[in-house]
Amino acid sequence: MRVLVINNDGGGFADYVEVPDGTTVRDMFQREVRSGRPDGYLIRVNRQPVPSDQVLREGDRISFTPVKVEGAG
Amino acid sequence: MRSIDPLRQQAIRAALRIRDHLVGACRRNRQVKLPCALWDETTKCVGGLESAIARGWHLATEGLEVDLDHKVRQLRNELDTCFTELRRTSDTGRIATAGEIVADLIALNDDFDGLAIDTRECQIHVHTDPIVLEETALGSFQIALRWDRIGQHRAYEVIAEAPRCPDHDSEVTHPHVRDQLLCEGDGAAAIRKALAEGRLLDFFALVRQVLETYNPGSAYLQLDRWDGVACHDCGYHMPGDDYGTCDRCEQPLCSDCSAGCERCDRYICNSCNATCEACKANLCEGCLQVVARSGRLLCPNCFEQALEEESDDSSSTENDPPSAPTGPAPASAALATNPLCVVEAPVPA
Repeated sequence: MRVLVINNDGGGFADYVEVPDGTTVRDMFQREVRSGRPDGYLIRVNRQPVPSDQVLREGDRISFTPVKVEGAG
Repeated sequence: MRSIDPLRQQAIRAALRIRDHLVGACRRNRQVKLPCALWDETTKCVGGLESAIARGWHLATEGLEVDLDHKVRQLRNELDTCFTELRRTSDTGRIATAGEIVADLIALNDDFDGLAIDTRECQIHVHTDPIVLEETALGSFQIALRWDRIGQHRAYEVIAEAPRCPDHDSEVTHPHVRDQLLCEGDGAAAIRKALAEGRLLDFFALVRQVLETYNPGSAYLQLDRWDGVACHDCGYHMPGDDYGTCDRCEQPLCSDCSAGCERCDRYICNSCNATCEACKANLCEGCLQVVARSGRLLCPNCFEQALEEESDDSSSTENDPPSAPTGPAPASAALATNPLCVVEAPVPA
């Protein structure tokens, strides 16, 4: 199935990817955000916060936004 | 008839305009330049080759064939580049659909306080929760986006609702905000991308996360220096309600840097402090006097002495034979008062 993945870490990434049926939010996090812990991210599916064991569905929009984003001066 | 709630109605109107702007901006950036000049050169080359063959110029034919081969390859590469560019820039799939933008705007209303959409001004703004960094309360901020400026400089501003600026810099409202401009740091690329693709929920969330994060290593002003003032001379941070100032320029001054004028006892900073060039006494600029002829800065005692010496010189010059072409200036003219001086130079008798 195809889901829209948005990773707002670093340079930002948004694209559709193919994932196997039964893929959970946790699986996607591990796949897309390799160096990070889930509690350091706002994780949303279709713009709503979700539990990590939620199974993704065809066409879902999953986004990872880091909680800490260091500004400069 | 089914009625649409006002927020959705507004969101739909805004989303259509935002998408129009984003697609337009994307198209404006499209730079598909056909290789017309190269095409003309290639055509000429073909003409030359045909006439070389017709005239039986074998050597010229060989040269032109190599030339034509090179030009056609070049042409193919240039056209490939055009094709890639055309596909890349016409691929609006990466720009959110109007429906996605509407969903973002509605989600913003749940995520932030005070969502306002102004289609006339092309503006969307939201308010953050009050922001507290390292126990310093900075209040809440308005994030105001002008969608017609996406892709240009300063598409959005971050405005403190009740600015709590440091004592000595009213432009800084947050360690990473100056003049209503967020210094995005690590978030810069992701913020720019979210805006360009019309992912408004991601954009506002990223800006909020930058505002909620403190990076002391790269702040306009560190929070431990937020309250209070820095010593004008050494930069030492002093409590806002307990610091001295220079008695002349009134700049903040710590106790280590304030020096007393040996004549008037005023406390002065380094900039206002000066030394008598004769006796090396430390005085404020106001207590020193400048000798016009030599330009020396002297304390009143040394100035008096210099005055007497000038008078003696003047007397001896008067007794000199008139052969001297020019005599020394009168002592009164040779001495002047420092324009900054509050003590007048004594007038010679």
